[in-house]
Amino acid sequence: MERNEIIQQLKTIIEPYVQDQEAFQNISENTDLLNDLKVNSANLVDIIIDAEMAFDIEIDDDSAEKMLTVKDAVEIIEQLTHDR
Amino acid sequence: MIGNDIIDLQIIASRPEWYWDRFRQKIMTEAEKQWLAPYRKNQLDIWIAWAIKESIYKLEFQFNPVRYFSPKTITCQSLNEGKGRFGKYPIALHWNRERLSALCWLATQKKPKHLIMSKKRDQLEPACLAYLSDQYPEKGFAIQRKPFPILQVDESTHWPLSMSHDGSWVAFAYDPI
Repeated sequence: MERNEIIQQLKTIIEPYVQDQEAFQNISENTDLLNDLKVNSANLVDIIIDAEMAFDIEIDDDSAEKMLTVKDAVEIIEQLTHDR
Repeated sequence: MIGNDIIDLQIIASRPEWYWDRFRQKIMTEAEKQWLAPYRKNQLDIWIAWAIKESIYKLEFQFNPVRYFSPKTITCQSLNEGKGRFGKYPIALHWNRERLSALCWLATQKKPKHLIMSKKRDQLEPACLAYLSDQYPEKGFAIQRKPFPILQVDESTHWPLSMSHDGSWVAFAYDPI
């Protein structure tokens, strides 16, 4: 799966949980899910489950802990879809 | 040191049961799933576990500032009438149909004062300061947010503080030491 395709799909997954819409409009790979988008920590679990379903992957606890920015998430998903 | 959390139970999205099972898998240990099994109706088990873990994380962040909240690394033990314990931290839980709140503190402290109000997120700090100014009119409070919330009472005095918000609710706890 292409990186751009992952980013677009990830944005769709993240959007319902975003509390700062302005930050979401300016989203980049360096955007921090908690600090910038103000996603709450329980919704971070929702994002992980939604991403598992969308990309047909399993994100383990160690990987989930590293998903702090959009870039982190994309790289983890990229790796897991590649290994699938 | 104090940690608290509040969850608005009325804004939780409707999800199929398989989704909640996966959510449990992400945040709870097998032992926690067992002792929380009686609370599974309407996923209350999930939110009890979450609120306890989040409040402990907030407390522990004050002496171990780990950036990511990893729910499974914080294990919580069984409750007795809303009271529990995590190692050296007493925990108090309260819930009704609308909301669930958790409060934890150091066993060496007395139980902190804990307030829950129906307010929006951006009203949390003003509501906290207004309440405290009313309770202690002789003091001039300010809230320092970084790296964790502290109540500045005057130039040399700080009180432990923890704040939380979700949906229609805000909660804060403080210890007037």
